Amino acid sequence: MVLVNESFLSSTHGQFGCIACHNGDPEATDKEAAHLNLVARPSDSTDVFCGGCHPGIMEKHQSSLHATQQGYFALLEKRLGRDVSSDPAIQPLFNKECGKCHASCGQCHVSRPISTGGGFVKGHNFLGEPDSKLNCTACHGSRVGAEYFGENEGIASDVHWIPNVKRCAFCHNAEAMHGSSAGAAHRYDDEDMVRCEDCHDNAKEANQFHATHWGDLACQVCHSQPYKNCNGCHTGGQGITGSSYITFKIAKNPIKSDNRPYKIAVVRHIPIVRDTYASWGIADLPNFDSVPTWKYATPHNIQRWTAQTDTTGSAWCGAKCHGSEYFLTLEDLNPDEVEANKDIVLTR
Amino acid sequence: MKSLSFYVLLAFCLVLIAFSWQCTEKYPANDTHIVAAANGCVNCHTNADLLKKVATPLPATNGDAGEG
Repeated sequence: MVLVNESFLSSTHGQFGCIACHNGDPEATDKEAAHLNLVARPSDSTDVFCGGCHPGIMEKHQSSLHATQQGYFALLEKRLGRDVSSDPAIQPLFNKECGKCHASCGQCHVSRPISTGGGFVKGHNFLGEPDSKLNCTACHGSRVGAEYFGENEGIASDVHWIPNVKRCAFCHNAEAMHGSSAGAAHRYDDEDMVRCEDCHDNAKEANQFHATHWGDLACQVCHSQPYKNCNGCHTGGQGITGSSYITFKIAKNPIKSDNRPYKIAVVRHIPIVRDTYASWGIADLPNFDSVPTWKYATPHNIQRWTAQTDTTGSAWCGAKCHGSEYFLTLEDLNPDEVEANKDIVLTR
Repeated sequence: MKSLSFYVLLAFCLVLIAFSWQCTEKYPANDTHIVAAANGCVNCHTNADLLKKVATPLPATNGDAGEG
């Protein structure tokens, strides 16, 4: 049901009139005739509608990971050994399952994402800043959203979450959200993606722990709490079918780069097995072992004091971390995932 | 005489109808929405009761929250 709040009519976008973006016939007297040639989601054709007034943003957005979803294709290409982003046999299957999280202008600034059933966020009024709950975590919800808002039982919310004050956009600004660095195939490749150090660089010498580990450990190694790991995936209801679980694991940084130079990082299990894409006609992933199934992670449940940083009663300052249960070791791995993760595991 | 009375009555009714139509105009001339209100799209899409009657139910989603 497309119910428009009357306040929209006097807003900047509302004054264009409905048919400027949606076509249709306003003189018609029945629903079918009124909706002839209707464009329900104009921002699916960004260049035709949004780009007329917002050319710079539109141009950036078209190369962003939110628009291209290149992250999915890049990892699938690594594991499969070929690029399927233009494969006509794969495209409809991808669009049906993964493509729903493609983010057009409207899915961030007007409606909730299609994957969650859509619906206006504020009666068709355009939001300059997307709503943290109805937009951002509608897609980034089962892990990041639950962590950030403190929805995992017994685990505190992120220290940065202050409703109506520190929303997602506090760290993830429009510049980063509207575009990605040229060639970025993953959000952590993006030079505009925020890092803790962007705000907290002055904490480098704040204490002995920082002075010792700064640059070697990702901040989350000490300051994040246990988080959700995924064990079930949904391509045709097949593939890996376990349940998600809460844990906390650190490993050698699987994506070490100038942008993410740390030796040790938090890792999260991802839901993939060799026949995950069987329902797409991809029976096996020949290069399955070429990419770790525990991926670099930045859990959004940051606290100053965590189980790692509270050393009260410990034998020595590093007793809780060095050689601890937090290490991802060979014993933690599913036997079929040992080869894929052998280069990032730690030994106690 | 009967015919004259009929025409007088008819004229009176027409005046009444015209007057009542003017009184029930939904949007006063100084309303900022007057232009949009004339638009058939707006008349339907700001009327919750009407939409409930004519809207096609959306298919249910499985509630999966996607990436990260």
